[in-house]
Amino acid sequence: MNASTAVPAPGDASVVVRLRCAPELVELASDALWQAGTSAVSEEPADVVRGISAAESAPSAPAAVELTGEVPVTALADLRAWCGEVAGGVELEVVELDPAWADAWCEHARAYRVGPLVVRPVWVDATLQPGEIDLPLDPGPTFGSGSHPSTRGVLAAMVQRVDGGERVLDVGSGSGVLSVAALLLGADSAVAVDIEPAAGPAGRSAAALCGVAERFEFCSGGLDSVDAEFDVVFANMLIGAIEELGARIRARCAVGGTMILGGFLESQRDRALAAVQPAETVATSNEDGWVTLVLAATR
Amino acid sequence: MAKNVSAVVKIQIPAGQASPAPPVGTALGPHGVAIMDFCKAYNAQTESQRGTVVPVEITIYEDRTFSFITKTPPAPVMIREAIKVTKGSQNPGREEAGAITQAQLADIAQVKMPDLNTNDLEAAKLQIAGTARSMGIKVID
Repeated sequence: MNASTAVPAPGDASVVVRLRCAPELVELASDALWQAGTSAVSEEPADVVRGISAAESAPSAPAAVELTGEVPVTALADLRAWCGEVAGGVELEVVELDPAWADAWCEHARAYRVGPLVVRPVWVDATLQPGEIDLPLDPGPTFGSGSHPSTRGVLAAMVQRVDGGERVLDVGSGSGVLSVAALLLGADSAVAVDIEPAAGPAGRSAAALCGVAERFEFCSGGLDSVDAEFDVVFANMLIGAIEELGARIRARCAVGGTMILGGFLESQRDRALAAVQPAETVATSNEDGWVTLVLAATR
Repeated sequence: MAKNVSAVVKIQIPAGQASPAPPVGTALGPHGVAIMDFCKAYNAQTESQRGTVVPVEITIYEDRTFSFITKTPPAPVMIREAIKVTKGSQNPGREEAGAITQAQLADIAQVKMPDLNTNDLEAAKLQIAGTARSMGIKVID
């Protein structure tokens, strides 16, 4: 597995810092991190961070909280000064991260089945029953693990709508799992687009891993550089992206063709539907709150 | 059957902008959570609140699945947004970083109420005023 290789590195310009303080100072200390330019603040009891169980820590020790953030190196001096001056005391520590954190989830990943597809991380073995189709993935942390409910929902819809010979378009292709699944189900060819450049290599290697590389094409120019019409267009993206690209998604789907949309919540369904008109709803499903819409493109 | 909880993690994240980098990734990764799956779920749920910080409390179960609830934005963040000050005072008490009105405190208290230990708006306002003062911000009428 190579899940750690694509992690956005902290980079030279920023450092991970941990602030340790009493619970009543959490609000202010978190805010000091925000003002220092952190991208997020995590909060854990200090004994959890240190790996000390409650039984081992001294019962008389005051509860402490550790806040972790990532701040620009240039903000470190101000932050350190603030920690030294605040009443009650906040300890600051610059942390060296063990790169293993990015891979910790891998040992818990499992294979799952959608129709005939057996979707599995490449390091997990699965015994195939007759008629089942193996879909190994080597997910990195840039894209999903392929097991997200919205991915499962779109795959389930695809199993029913792709049965051979289709030309498919994958908008927001990410890891490439949907394109590869369509090709394994018999689609003639798949074109994938994504604004994230890493989706190109990710999609190509996913297609190669499943033996469908010659029918897969990643179009680095984005949706605007694709001018063909497709029989099936799928997009598993957050609602904002679906709204932004909806008209172009609809334009790339042939009249009578199928659009499969996922990646949004029940409360956002109407917005997704409105974004890709003219179209009619053919089927809709909900997996853990994530909606999949199957639509027929109309005139 | 209820699933066994293995950890509860709190993270403050800008709405719609969770990414697998530290500290989101480093807080969740060691608990065995597929980090991008969390980011996607968080970003979908908070996309309408973009522009502010939406804290989240994530419950991780023994099978490494997770659920989460979002909280109201942190009081200091709301206070700074209200008075348009990006930096609080480095020396609270000695140096005023700005001023906040009673009306602004009431607006913030109203939003924060679900996460404060009170149902009384006046009591909630006092808590927010206390936070503002500790940030070096003066409370005015």
